[in-house]
Amino acid sequence: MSSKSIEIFCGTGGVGKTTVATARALFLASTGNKVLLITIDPAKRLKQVLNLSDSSHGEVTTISHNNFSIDSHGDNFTFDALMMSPSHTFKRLTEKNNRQADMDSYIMQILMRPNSGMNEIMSVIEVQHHLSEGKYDTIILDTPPGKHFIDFLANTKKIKLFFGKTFVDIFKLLRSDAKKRSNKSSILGSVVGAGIKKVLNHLEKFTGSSFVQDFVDTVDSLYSNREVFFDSFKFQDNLRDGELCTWFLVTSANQHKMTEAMDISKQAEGLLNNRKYVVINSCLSEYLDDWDTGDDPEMQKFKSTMQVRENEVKEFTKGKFSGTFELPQILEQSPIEQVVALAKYWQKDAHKREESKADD
Amino acid sequence: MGSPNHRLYIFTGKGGVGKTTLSLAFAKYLLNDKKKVLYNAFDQEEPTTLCKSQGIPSFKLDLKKSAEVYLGHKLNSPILAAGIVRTPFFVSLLQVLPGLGHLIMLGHIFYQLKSDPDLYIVMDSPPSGHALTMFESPRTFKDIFKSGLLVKDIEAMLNFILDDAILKTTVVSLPTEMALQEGIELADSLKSYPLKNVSLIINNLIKINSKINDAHSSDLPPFLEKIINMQEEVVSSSPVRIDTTIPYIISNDTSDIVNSLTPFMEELS
Repeated sequence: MSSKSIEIFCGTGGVGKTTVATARALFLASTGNKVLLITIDPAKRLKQVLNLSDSSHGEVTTISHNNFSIDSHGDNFTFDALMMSPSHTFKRLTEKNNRQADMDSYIMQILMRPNSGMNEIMSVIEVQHHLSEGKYDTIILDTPPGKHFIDFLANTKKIKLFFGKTFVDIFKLLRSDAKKRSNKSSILGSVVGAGIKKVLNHLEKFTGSSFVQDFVDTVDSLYSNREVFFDSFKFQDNLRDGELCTWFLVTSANQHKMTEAMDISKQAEGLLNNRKYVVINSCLSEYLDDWDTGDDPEMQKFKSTMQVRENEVKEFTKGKFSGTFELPQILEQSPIEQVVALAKYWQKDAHKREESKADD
Repeated sequence: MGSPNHRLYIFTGKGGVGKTTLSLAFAKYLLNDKKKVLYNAFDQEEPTTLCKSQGIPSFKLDLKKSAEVYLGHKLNSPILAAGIVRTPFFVSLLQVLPGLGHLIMLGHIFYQLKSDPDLYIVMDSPPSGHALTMFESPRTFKDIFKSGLLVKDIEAMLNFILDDAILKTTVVSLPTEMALQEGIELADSLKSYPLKNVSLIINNLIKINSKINDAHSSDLPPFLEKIINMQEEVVSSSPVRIDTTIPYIISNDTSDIVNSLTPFMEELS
């Protein structure tokens, strides 16, 4: 395990995960940290925030300092970004194992399409690959909203189950049987236990005649690339390591879904560690405090509704995390301007912490 | 009010845009019109307390149960189906292929609507990226299985989804650049499916809240003016047509918000 750290940004939908994660990445890059920002959200909002092209899907792209009006430490500015693409990850891993022919399996091709649902499982492999390579000081992960993040974290368990001992033996049997057989229907001859025989037997009645054969070939192909899937088991261990992994629950001052947010936090902690921070984004308290509503009851109601909600969010999260970051609502239209403003906030915050350390 | 034009209403969009509150408000609108409605949250967590307090009937989709029922029909044996669904292999397969689960759940919804011609279903769909996986799951597995009885069933489901009279999909977005862009991309993907009846709406527009609209501009603080102007700019410079705009509701009570949104739902039917 060579990369120095990984920071994960999670939370319910629409709170600003992508913007905050990008701002954090920009801030770290501005301090001379070599950063890789990965988004595993299939909605790929990062593309819009950083002005990435469609052709950069699945490829690590270098982001130039010129995109941002922010100071950085001398010439050391490394900010790379990656939008996850399951087919790119799969291609890379077949090339690594010299099994390019596996790419030809039509079932694998279909499953590796962007919307076939393999995004989260392949993300585990992709992120672990970058962690192992150790090219960056910090890897930042922008995750899908809500419980989809928890599904992503639980993927190591699913991979383990699928490649578990019972299946491994059966896949071996299926492969050796496949080589021996002359007649397709005898494939299922000697496979027992784990229900594969049961499922495939009945499946043959309902699918095209060549499907079961193709299915067995696909399983064979997955099995041949299993080492890479096993590598991903390290991923779980890396995330549990509090020295390596820090995570941020991003919530918003106008968050309605506090219960869901805290639920995600609880489940995440079980799968990660307790090196956790909360980011309360889009805070309006300073603006609200300055707002003189006079006697207007509607304006009073508006002001107090917003204040009450923001205070509730702050109360709810108090004392439950190692630290809190309250980020102000940025009154800028463009996502990049928002990112720069938030990155400057992190810079100011870092200064303050250093100054208070110096005073100690 | 005339009869609703469709039978399955799906609310989709970026996380946090208001899919749940809008789908509940819409279900309520149908209920007020004495229609038989069920709210469904697909594979998301159902807001049960809210449904109950609003009197909105709902149903949950249990993946294993749905698979068991379907297989039971196909194999003409519920016992065999139960056996298959419990095998470690099947369980593991469902976990590793979320699209398969989506297909099974969509199938269940389709079956409900087919067997009850008076029923309307309002679905609160997963967020954008995951919604696309859900919508594409029939095609994904049709391409995988290629032919046979399963494909025939999938084709029936696809015809149903693509039927002009059945499905209406509302893509919900917000008056911000990020949200609107995601809404536009999602709506485009769905239209190229080719889903008919895909509309794009913007939720939480502060300016069209009647209380704000009535306020004199001198009553509004500068930060709020700025936010309102930014929102208006997003709407007016939108590269595509916005079908409906829904006002921001000033309340911290979700039930209150659902009630306040119901009068705006007719446009979405």
